[in-house]
Amino acid sequence: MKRLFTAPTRIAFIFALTLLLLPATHAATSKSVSSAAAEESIRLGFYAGARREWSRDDVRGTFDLWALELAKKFQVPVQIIHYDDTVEMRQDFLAGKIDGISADAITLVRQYKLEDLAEGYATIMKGGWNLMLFSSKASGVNNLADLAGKRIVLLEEDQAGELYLETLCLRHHQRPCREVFSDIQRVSTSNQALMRVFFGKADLAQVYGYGHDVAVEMNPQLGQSIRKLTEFPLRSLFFAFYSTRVDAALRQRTVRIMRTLHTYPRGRQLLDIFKIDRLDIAYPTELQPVIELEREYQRLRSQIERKDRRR
Amino acid sequence: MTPPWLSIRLLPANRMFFRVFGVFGSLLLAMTILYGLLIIPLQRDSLLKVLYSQATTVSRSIIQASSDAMLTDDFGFVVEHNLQVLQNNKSIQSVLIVPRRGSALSISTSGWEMLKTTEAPINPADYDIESYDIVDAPEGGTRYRYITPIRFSGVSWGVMRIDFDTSEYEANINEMYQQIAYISLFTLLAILPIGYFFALWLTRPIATISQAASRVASGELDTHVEIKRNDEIGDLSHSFNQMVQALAENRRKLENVNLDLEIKVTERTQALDELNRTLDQRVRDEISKRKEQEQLLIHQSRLAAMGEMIGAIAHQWRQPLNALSLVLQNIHMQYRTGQLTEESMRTMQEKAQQLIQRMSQTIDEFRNFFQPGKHAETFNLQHAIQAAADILEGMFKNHNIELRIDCPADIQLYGVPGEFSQVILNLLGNARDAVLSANQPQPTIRIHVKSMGAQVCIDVEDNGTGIDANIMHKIYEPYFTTKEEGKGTGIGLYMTKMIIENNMHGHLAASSLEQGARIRIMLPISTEAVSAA
Repeated sequence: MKRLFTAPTRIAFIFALTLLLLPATHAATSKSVSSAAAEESIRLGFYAGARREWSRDDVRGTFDLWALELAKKFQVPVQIIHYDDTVEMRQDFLAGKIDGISADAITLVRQYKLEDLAEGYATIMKGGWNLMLFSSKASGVNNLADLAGKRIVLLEEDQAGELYLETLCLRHHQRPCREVFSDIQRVSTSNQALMRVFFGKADLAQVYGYGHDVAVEMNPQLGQSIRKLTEFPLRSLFFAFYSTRVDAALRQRTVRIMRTLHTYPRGRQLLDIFKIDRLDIAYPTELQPVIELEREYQRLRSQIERKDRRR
Repeated sequence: MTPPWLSIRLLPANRMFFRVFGVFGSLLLAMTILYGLLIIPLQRDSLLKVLYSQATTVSRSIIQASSDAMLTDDFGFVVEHNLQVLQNNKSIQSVLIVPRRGSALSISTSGWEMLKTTEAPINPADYDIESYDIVDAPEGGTRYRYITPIRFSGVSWGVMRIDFDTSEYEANINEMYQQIAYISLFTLLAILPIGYFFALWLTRPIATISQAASRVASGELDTHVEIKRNDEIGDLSHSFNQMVQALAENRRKLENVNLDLEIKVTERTQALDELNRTLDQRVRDEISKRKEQEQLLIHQSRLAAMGEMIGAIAHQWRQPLNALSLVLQNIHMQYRTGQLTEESMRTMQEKAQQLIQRMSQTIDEFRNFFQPGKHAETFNLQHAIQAAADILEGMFKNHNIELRIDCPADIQLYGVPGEFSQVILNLLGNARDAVLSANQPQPTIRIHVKSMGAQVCIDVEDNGTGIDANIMHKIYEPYFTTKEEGKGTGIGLYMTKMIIENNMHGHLAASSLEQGARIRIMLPISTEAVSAA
């Protein structure tokens, strides 16, 4: 499958669109809310991601078209603010210049305090967002102790995957991954990663659950040739949260409409563009597993650094 | 009361209308179907060319993009790329890549799998030759299958087979069928009103003229056709009206002629009635006239015979008259010289008396020959012929004409001897004139008689001028003669034929010989006469 957008960017994109859509959808369903929303202005921050291979002008155009269409139809002023730097977006968020943010879980965990964030939305994929580590049955890797000297394939721009794998390396081999594996390759999709294992170009692949399901569905032979070594549970990797400064009633109303996005054609069309199954309500506390993973990684890394200094 | 629109006849009751309507409609429909039959194969070929072009483009694109991966056995990239191609090109159903070594890859929109090369449905020839065809799909329907060798720098790496969805192709074909069906249906629907008005426009004036012609045929000559058109039908209408007017005029003339004719017929009928009433009298008068004419002819014939007789007498008398003149001269000479004696006077008187007696005998002979006997009797043929010859003997000798008679002595005929003698005399006279006209050095006339059972054949032949074939049919007509003015009456042969055929129940026919002519007479022999003889 051709991927126009990398996974993090795609998810951020859909979130920004969703937030853009919500007030208008809300206005369409309730006259009282519509009048209230019409009095407010929603400004959304969108982090385009590190990759630059796709045109920012195209993204802006898509958002502007949706914003213009929905604003005219529902009379809700909406403003999209694009950021190339997450620090700048965080500063504007803290300064109250934007009312909501869209980013991946690692960015949110590392740059925002949970108490500053209110309810928002998570991307839900069929097959889930669990991080999985697979090995080729022909590679002789049967558990995490066998990773040393093996070739592994990772997803590009996958901070969560990098964090989890580094944590595993530190946990089981007390060394960073670059010292554990003989070769670390990076591909853009889970399917590509698993195919490299299937065709013997790599011994291991770390992918997300939905990617694994799609790859096995495409070729059952692939599922028979690999073995799952470990799995990290994640409900979603990408979230969008309102600021706690946004009116709670507005947040709750948009949340209810948000959950039904996949049930009507306009919303379905939006989700299909980015191959997203549906959106669901999410709370900042759902970032807690990632926070703990980050803490474990920091702790293990500190231990290893201390040991290295002792040596 | 019937409304006016109900009186309009939607379907004209003439056969020509239906024929024109049928031919026009059939022709239009046939042309439409023919157009469809011709255009379908062309369109199908065109669509197949489009599929072929698409197949070659896709295959080249895949091979070019995957060449490095194929050479380095990076099949993951090959699968991923082909999945992207399948994702972006919905018309491709599957791609099968079979390398010469290793496993084959079967990639479709629903997934992909790895096959053993031996399981791949590829023929050995596919490694070398490009091919394409419409094949049946296992799930039903058809596919456009394109197979192309994969080569890098002239080295055969493997083969690629791409199956394209033909639903668009079939949809185009079906759409084309539908369009042709719609066009045919439209044509059929259009034929009804257009063909109706066309056939009506074409046949109505003809039908009008036809109906008018029928009325004219039934005698309505006051019929007039009102068709105002500037074409042949308008001319026909105009000509028809003129023709009907002329016909009416001719009819009036014919009626007048008939009336005149009827009057004339009445008059002629009356005249015929009158004629019928006087017919018997007319017939009797005519018969009487004919008898008078015959009598006249006979009389003329007798006069002619008399002339002949006088001529003959003149010839007979010429020699004794000369002798008598010499006797008288001798008497005168002897008297003047004193030599006249009684004895010499008595001798010359006896001699003169003998000459006068001989001349008197000649007159008696002629008188007996031409004795006008009216009663038929049996007579000897040889005697009758010889008597006639004797009469003309002097004349023949005078002209040095040889007469040969070959006749049996015992043949008896029954008839009027004078008439038969006139027959022989006429034939000998004609023969004499013919031989004299021919200036023959040896003029000859031959009478040959032979008995032929109950009949006798008498041939009178001469070596004269003969009879011209152009006048053969005229020689028996009365007053027809080839002789000079004043020398022939033209009734001799006519009377001769009448005597032979009417009075003696025989037959006379003339014919030409190589030199001269022949008159043949066939007569019945009298048995009574034989016994009497």
